[in-house]
Amino acid sequence: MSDLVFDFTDLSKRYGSLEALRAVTLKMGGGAIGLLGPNGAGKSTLLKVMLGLLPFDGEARVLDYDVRSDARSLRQHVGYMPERECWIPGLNAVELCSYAAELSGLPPAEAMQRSHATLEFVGLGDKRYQKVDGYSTGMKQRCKLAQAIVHDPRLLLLDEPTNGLDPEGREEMLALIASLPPRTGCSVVLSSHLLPDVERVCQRAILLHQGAVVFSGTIDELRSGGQKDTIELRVKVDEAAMMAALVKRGLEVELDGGTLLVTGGTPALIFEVARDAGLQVRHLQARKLTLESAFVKAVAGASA
Amino acid sequence: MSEAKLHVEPKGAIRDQGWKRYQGSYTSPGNRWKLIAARMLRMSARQAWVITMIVLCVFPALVMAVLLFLQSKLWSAGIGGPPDHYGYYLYCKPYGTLLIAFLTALFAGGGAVADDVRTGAFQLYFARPVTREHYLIGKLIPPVLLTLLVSSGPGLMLSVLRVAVAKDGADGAHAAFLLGKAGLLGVIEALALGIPIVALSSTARSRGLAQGLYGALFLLPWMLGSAVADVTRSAWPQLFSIPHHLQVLGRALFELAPEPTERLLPVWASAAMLAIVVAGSIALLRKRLAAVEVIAG
Repeated sequence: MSDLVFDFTDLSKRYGSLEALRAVTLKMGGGAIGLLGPNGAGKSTLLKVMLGLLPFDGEARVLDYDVRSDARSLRQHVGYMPERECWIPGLNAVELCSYAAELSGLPPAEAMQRSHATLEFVGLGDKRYQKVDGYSTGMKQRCKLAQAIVHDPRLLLLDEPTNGLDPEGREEMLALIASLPPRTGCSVVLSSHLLPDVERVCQRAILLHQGAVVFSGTIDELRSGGQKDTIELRVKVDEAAMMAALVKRGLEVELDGGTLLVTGGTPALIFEVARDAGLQVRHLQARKLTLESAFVKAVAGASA
Repeated sequence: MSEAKLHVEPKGAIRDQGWKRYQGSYTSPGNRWKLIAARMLRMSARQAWVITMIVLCVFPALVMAVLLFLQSKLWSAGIGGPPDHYGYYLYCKPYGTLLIAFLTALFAGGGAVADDVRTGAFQLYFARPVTREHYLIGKLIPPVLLTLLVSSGPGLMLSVLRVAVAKDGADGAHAAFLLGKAGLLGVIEALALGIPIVALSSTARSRGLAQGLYGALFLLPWMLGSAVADVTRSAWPQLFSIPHHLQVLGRALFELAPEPTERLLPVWASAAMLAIVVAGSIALLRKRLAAVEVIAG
């Protein structure tokens, strides 16, 4: 059995004249993966393909199942937490989760047992006999997560899981999601337009734009934008002398206000240059793009 | 009492049970419709109005049973004819179970799909190994079954009574056919009343709206059709009346001639219209379900 969570080759999907996915070729292993992209980028279409809900062109394997021919078996091992509200009127949380587990293929006794354990896990243990209709937004979000993981899926698809939550509830939900891969052994695909959420939970990200993958890799790689590390440097009094010394050692240097931006060097080398030039270093820090800037840069690069 | 005495140290280690992987087998993916039907049946049967209708349907049957018993005694004494028409009355007359069956379908099926539309429950179903056919069958069975309970239960009991009070062996054998007729008309009534309400439920965002639509489609053609039929002296204005078609099929099944004031459509027309209603409802339901978006965007 392959360790790949999904393996797409030339995956395309058209809605009439609109190309929702364009020749997506992508392989990803387990862990927490962020699915990023502006509205209309193809995130929802990709999630539908992962659940085997849409016909498509190309090849797609998820959890080693052929999505086209074995979608129902695949869905037995996938959990989906939708963005929109999702419950069954008149059921309490235990009944809802137990029903969801049975629909995923668990026998009734096992479904009921796991329903209780899962509601404890998501922090709804003492509220589990309340009707879901009367839950607050935060409780409904937890209940949606519970129904998505109750059957112990190998892949969990989360669509905007912090939607409508207050800052405290959002933090709790993210902590819960971040704990899922190490505790339950499942892989997580988090689709969100909230970059801090992705940054908090995921190690890797896929960035979609106009149906095409413009980036796939680690969050750190996304932040660095594929460039060498840049170091911010400030020295006492004589920036020009320091700049000249650094250039002499073959480094790329740019002056930004009173700050030198040094590319291609290490902190040790910079300290050595400063010592030789008799200059005092006042500030030295690796400069990284924020995820937002990296996102905007990647999308702008793809649009150009 | 001091604070130290009030505080009792917990004994034993706190054990985090952690997450348990599911190691068992999975049930057959083909049985999901049964799960959906069983869940909906339990929820429908919990509704006070559905329970009320099931209880209410017993009373017309009791009245008919008394009348049937009395007429059978008179017939044994050589007065009047055989009491074979009570089953028909029970099904097809407004004072029988027809209205109760209609109301049972209304309450049991009004929210079948509309509730799921309102609460986004489609996402819970279709992101799992549940096909749209499973969902459709699972949602149709409970209203049809509950309506069948109301439409055929009293009729079958009445037929059993008719067999029990048979004058002789030959009459008993003849009366035994009433059981089949009662069962068949009960099934037709349950399908004709139970399936359209689920189809209408799929077009509405609330069960109230679906029930209102269903009430209008059932009652208005019935009342307007019979009024216009009286004025025009033609049966055709009742073409869109489901109760009228049930009445026509009931009379044909129980081999009863129409009353002088009744204007009845031909049996083939009524049978065709009921088949169109049932098939059209299923087609509408399939179309609505095919259009469901599991993931918005």
